[in-house]
Amino acid sequence: MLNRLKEIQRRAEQEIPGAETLDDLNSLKVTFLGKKGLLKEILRSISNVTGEERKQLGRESNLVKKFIEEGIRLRVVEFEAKAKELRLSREQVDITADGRGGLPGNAHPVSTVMAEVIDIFSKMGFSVKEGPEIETDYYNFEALNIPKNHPARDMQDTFYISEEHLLRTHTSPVQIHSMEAVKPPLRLIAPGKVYRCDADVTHSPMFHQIEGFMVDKAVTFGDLKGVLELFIHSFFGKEVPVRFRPSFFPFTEPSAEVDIGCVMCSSKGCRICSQTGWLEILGSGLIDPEVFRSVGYDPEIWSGFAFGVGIERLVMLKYCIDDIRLLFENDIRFLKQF
Amino acid sequence: MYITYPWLGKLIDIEVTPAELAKKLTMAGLETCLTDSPEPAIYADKILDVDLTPNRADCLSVKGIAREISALTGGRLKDDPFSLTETEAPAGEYVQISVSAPKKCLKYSARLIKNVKITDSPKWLSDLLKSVGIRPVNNVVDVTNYILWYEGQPLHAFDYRLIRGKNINVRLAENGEKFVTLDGKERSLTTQDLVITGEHESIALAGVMGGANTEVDETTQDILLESALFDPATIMKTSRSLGLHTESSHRFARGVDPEGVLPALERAAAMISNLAGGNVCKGVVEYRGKEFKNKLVTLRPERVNRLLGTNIERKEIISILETLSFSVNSEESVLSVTVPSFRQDIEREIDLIEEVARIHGYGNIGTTLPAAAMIQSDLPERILLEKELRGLLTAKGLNEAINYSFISDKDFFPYREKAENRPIVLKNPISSEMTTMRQSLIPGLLKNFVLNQKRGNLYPGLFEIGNIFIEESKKIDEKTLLCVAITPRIEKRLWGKGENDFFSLKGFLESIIKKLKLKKPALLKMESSKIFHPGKSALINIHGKQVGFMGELHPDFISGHDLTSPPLVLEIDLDKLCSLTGEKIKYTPLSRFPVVNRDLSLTIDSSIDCDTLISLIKERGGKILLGVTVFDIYEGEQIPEGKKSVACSIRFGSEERTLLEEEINAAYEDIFSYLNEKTGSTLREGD
Repeated sequence: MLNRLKEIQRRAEQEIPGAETLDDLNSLKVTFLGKKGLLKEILRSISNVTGEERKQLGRESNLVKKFIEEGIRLRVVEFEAKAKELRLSREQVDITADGRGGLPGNAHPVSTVMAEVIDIFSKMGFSVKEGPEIETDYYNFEALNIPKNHPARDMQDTFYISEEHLLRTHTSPVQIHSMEAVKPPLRLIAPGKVYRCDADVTHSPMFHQIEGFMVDKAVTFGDLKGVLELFIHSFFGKEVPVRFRPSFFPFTEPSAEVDIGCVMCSSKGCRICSQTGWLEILGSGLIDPEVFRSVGYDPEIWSGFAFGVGIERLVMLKYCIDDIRLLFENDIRFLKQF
Repeated sequence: MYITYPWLGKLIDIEVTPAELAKKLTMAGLETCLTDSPEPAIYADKILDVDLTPNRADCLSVKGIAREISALTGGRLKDDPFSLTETEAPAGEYVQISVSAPKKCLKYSARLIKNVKITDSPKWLSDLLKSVGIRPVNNVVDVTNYILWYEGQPLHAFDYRLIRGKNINVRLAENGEKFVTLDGKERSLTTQDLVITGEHESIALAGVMGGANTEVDETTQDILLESALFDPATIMKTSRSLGLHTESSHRFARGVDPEGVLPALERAAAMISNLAGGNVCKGVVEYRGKEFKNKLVTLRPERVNRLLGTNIERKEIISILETLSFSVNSEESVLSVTVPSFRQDIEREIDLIEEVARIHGYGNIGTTLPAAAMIQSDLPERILLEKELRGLLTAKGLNEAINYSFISDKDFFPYREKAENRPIVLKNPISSEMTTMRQSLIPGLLKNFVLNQKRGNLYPGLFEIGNIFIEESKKIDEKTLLCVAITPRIEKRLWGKGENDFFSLKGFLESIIKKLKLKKPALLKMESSKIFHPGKSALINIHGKQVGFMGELHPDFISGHDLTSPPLVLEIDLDKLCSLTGEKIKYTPLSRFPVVNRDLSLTIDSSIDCDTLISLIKERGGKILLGVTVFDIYEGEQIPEGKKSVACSIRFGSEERTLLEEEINAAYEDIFSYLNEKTGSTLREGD
């Protein structure tokens, strides 16, 4: 009997690994473990045996049963794993197709650069102040030391609404509004739209400007240089050369035009910088005593600097855009790039 | 202003190359670049193109730039002598000058040159003129242009015989006075304009342009040569109001050297008699006006350093001023500086400080950071709001547009904020598309839609943040708006996106509200509008304030716009939005007990809106009702006319215990019968 058991085990050892499908395994299960299976047959014949032999036979046949059951179970697990693998392998998606849900859009490059400039000056303690885009002649010109019939008015072609009202040609009027409202010291920037009657690839009848100014005791021209250099280096990078050269604005004196080394040609000279290696990027200067007088500040006590930077100019340099009109056409292929 | 080495060579020897010179001038405030001569066949070398700021009238001449170069390089200025021979005949017998507007005509001097022969100029002169872009005319006119360029003093030559009389008067024009200028155009003058008149008629528009009636040509025999000084503002006004800008008006408006008026006349007379062979009559006929006095300006050397942040020594300051032809009295600690006549721009201490800074070199001023108290910077609420909205809307797939604030008249009227609003119109628009200040951002975005559709671009939509302009009781008001515009259909081709409808647009509104933690907006039906679809539009009301409107654009309205289907548009007043305060965040504890969702599908009268339905359900649901969401509304096939099918999901739960199945069923049944009772709704078949 024991031999018979051994033989059953040997047969199972051969046949279970040979099974190729779950069905094969099921029929093996019936063959070995079923009601009429080989093991049941042995168990049935145990009743003919007694004593120690019966005990041993019972033990052995149990072991063989466990052996076969475990063998089949392992193969089933194996088959199931294979089947799952097969199923999953057929569920392959095209991983190269686009993601769903759409991409985010973009802020307009002018907004992005504007925010960047505001950020840089905010960190230096400049607060933001806004003013109206439709201004009076007084705030846009007179209070800024640009009287009527002064040649400086030709520097800025103005859109007029009436004798009195015009579209501001710069954000400098905010300087006057602020100084009229607050006593010094103050440190402000004024971002916004400005308008000049001019249109070509580098001039737009509407553009954006940030005017900045600081008034305190003992503010110097050296401070103006320091603050603007800090700004330029934050915006364009530390390696960009900066130079200050004398210029003229009616509301500042001494006035300075600020140039940076041409970012297009690394100052070698190109079409963009008219072969000079330098690009003009902002106007600045110490606030003219006349302006202080118009807002009731004593120029003997207070000094200050002011500057104005054209945002489109920065945008065009930053992204190598050669036609300003692209900025206001709003072609989605353009807007999507930023 | 164009300038060349041959011109400069008459007054100064220059050791440096043109490129070096251009750089020196630029760094001293006279922005100069090298360019090709307008007549490269005549002058092949690069010429200097000096772009002068309006304050530097003194440099609008070869002489002025030579002076500047001398100060910058230390090169000495040379004399350029000339000699003038007069005849015995006194000019005063032929010409008398009177000035009736002494505030406008400050000086007037003239010489009479008889028996000239008008020919072409010699080659050296015409070449010199051509090299800087001046067109040669004849020997007399060329001399006046030469002197203007060389000395900065505008001159005018009249044909003496055509004046017909010896009395010359300078007066204000009469209102409506007609005058034909040299360019052949008839100008209508006002009492703001200054004219030179003969005994019979006006002969020149003072300081701007001569008259056609006394033009010098090949038949001219006697020349009356004028050199004068006019009030800058008067010339500016005339030049501007007539739109007539000349080399002469450019210089007079900026201020010419009062001490240069006579010398220029003398040099010109000498040159004319030399080149045109005329006889210069004895003496200058002149109106001298007030005697010129040099300005005296005081300068505190310590103030120079205090403003610039420098340590420039007193003697260095003095030496800089002296190289610029200022004379300095340094007996006192405060310097007393006499300003040369040609520097009309120097009037105040600060002007002198700028001169010192300029010549000292901006590059030599040390860079410092302000020694000011630390302050916290402050950003206006609206700027912060804009930033937030930009982040939200771009994350939701929209791109930001920026349009011009002025639109065409045609685009303005449909979008007036109120029907009675009058347009704010530019007096001098740059094009007919940009005449009127906008009162809505919609027209701009619509234009962008049309352009993008034309170019076959696919995109979900655009938004813009910008100002509109309204005139109310003579006061101009500006408001900052946000406009969101989404495309209706073209989105389909983009991967995985459906159609946009009113509710897609409302989704944007809800996102904004959620982001700002405001209460749910009330949408109110809009009164009839030509712009919006009557059934798919609404006024937006938040916290009891009307902040904007939204909807699908009216198909009729869109038909004029080349768009395939009507966009959906939302416009909100950001200042109003800013004034609303969001709710403070306070955490609500989470229930530990399960939530049960039950769907309810009803057929209900079309007139009953979601808000009504939801509030009825909430009203009846009692404590265990947590929330209701409508997830489908359907009208059409299989639904009777005047009815719609609405599916909603009702959430039940309790904070204290797990609800019993029977309890939920009972509540659900109760809600249904309540709805049936109130609205006659029935369960949808199949559910």
